[in-house]
Amino acid sequence: MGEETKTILIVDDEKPLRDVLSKHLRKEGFMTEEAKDGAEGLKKALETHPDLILLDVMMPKLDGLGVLKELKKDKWGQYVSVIMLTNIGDPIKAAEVTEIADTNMGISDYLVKSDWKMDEVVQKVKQKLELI
Amino acid sequence: MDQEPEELLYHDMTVLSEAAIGFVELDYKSDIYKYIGENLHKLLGDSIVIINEFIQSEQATITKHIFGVSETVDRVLFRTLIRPNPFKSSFPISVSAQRNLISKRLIKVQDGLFGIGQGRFPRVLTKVAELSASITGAYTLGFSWKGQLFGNAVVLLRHGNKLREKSIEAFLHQAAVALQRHRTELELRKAHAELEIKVEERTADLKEAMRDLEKFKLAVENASDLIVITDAGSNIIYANDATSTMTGYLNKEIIGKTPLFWGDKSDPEHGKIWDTVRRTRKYAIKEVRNIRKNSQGYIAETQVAPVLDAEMNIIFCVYIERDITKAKEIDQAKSEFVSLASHQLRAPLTSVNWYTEAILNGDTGKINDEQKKYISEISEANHRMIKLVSSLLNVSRIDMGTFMIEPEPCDLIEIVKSVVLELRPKITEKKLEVEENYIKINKVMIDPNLTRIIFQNLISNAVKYTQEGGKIYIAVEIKKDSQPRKSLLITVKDNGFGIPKNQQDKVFTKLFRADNIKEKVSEGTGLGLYIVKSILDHSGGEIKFYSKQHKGTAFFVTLPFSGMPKKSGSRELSATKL
Repeated sequence: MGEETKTILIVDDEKPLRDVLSKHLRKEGFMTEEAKDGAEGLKKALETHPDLILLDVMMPKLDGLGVLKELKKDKWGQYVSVIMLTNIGDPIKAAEVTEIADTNMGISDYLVKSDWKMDEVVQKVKQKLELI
Repeated sequence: MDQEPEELLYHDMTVLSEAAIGFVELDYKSDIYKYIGENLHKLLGDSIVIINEFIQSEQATITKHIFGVSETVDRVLFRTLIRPNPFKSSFPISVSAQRNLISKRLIKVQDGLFGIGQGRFPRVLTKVAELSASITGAYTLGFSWKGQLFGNAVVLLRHGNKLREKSIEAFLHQAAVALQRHRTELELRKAHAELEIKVEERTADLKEAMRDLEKFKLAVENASDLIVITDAGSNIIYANDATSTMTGYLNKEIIGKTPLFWGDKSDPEHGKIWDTVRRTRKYAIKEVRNIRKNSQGYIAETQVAPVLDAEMNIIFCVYIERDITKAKEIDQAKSEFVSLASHQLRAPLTSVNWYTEAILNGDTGKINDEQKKYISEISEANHRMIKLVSSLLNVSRIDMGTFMIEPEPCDLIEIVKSVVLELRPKITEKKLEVEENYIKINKVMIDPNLTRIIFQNLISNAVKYTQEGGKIYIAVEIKKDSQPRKSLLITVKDNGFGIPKNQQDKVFTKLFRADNIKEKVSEGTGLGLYIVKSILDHSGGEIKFYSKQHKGTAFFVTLPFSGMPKKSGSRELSATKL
């Protein structure tokens, strides 16, 4: 590859989804980190500074929107790339995400998980990281 | 021969006073002509009195009564010689004669009967008649009312009548006065009777109105909604019982204050409804937050209806408030349940989706063709389920009315094109030919999300229900026959399987799938067209279709050129990824 390996942080409370997505991303040449709720996700993000975060919305402890709000307060976090990956097919929530993310954060996507193939998710990740 | 003047005078005076009494006691119901004639004849003594009625339409008189004629005289005087049948044949009165009768009333007629007949009877005959009836003088008196002649009396004095001219004049004058009084009284009675009828009618109306009012009053007083009437300055002048139940304030605490008194001042909508009503002078409805006397907040649906005068000034307003807190909570709960349920359903579906994908990708090692086929079936079934969940979510939002319409300037054709692009892989796979025909139009005020859902459903249906190698035609144009209000016509046509005639009336019902395609195409939720129809129903649009089995189907959507109206709601419908 020649390029530096990118790290993706998967924040999702559903282990099966983390597992399969993580395995697929690794197969595609990424390094992955996993977190099982919002609080852990935020902590890992601020510690490890991943290149991109795949962030679920509905999670225990701290939800995805809460994580976003906290990230926005951080010097590094306000510029990090985030893809919201959730099963709440709710444009209202999507609008809320856009509102919180404002302009700095690299959020342009709010994907309904069930509608997307893993391959397509990986394409989105690559686009975001300007790998393709 | 001549009596003493004093004696004569005494006689006249007696008769005169009798006359006065007689006429005063006149009964308005009796035959006035007969009555007057009888009395005149009695008073005048030896005389003939003829009473005629004037008939306006004929400009002639007809005789009503004759008094003081014996059988012989009668025959000689009237029947034979002069007027064969005075009671039936009319006698024309010239305009000048009418005027005389109206203005002078009593006229001493020169030339006796000849003069009475206005020279129309032969002089010889009148002379013979006069002699045979011993007539010595003739008078006529007009009866008039408000300048209109309505009759006259002819008095023929006979030989031996001792009355002097002055007395005759006085009697006749009395008679005329009595007649006038009678007329006045008749008119008065008539007016009175009419008035009474009117009063009765009005009273009945009023009673009816009072009963209605009483009903209204009862309804308003006992209504469960808060109902308040305010003056033009929105100060309360009346409040029903529900007002104190809902707000906690007693009547005396709020009379003279405005309904904003219990409004939540921090609510951005506070007071806006009144501004709207004052500006538009029209009925308005708004949801606001209000606060009860005990500081408990509640959500109210408020309505204000202004009552205007002829100059469109507000005289007073009717303000109605309904507590919808509970209903809102229920709606919220239902809506949240649906969102949550769909989220929970999607989680396992995503797992199946991604794990089958991983297997098919060979992430877990090589699989044989049969395994691949089976896993693909699972994957496809799973996709259908995912779409069904999205559609069910939309249907529940439509049915609960919680979905919103947010129009913004959009390029309709761009939306249609992007849907076609999304479907391109399937179109290519089925080797379908797609013909597109779009006119150039400016941006229209439509909800892009809803518009997308409409075309996703229509175009994907066309793709789904057309055999390989089939044709699809998509067009956007201005509807020709839609003057003066222009509208857009969108056509999605295919030469596919078509819809059986006997099932065409069910096309827009929930969960409908036509019999002929159930076998051919397993994909499909039966919710798409229901959603499309519901969206169009709410956004001023229309959908029609024409279909023939084995020939194809054409859907025609019309959207007003002015766009979709805004509809507020708590949820959007979601367009699924195709």
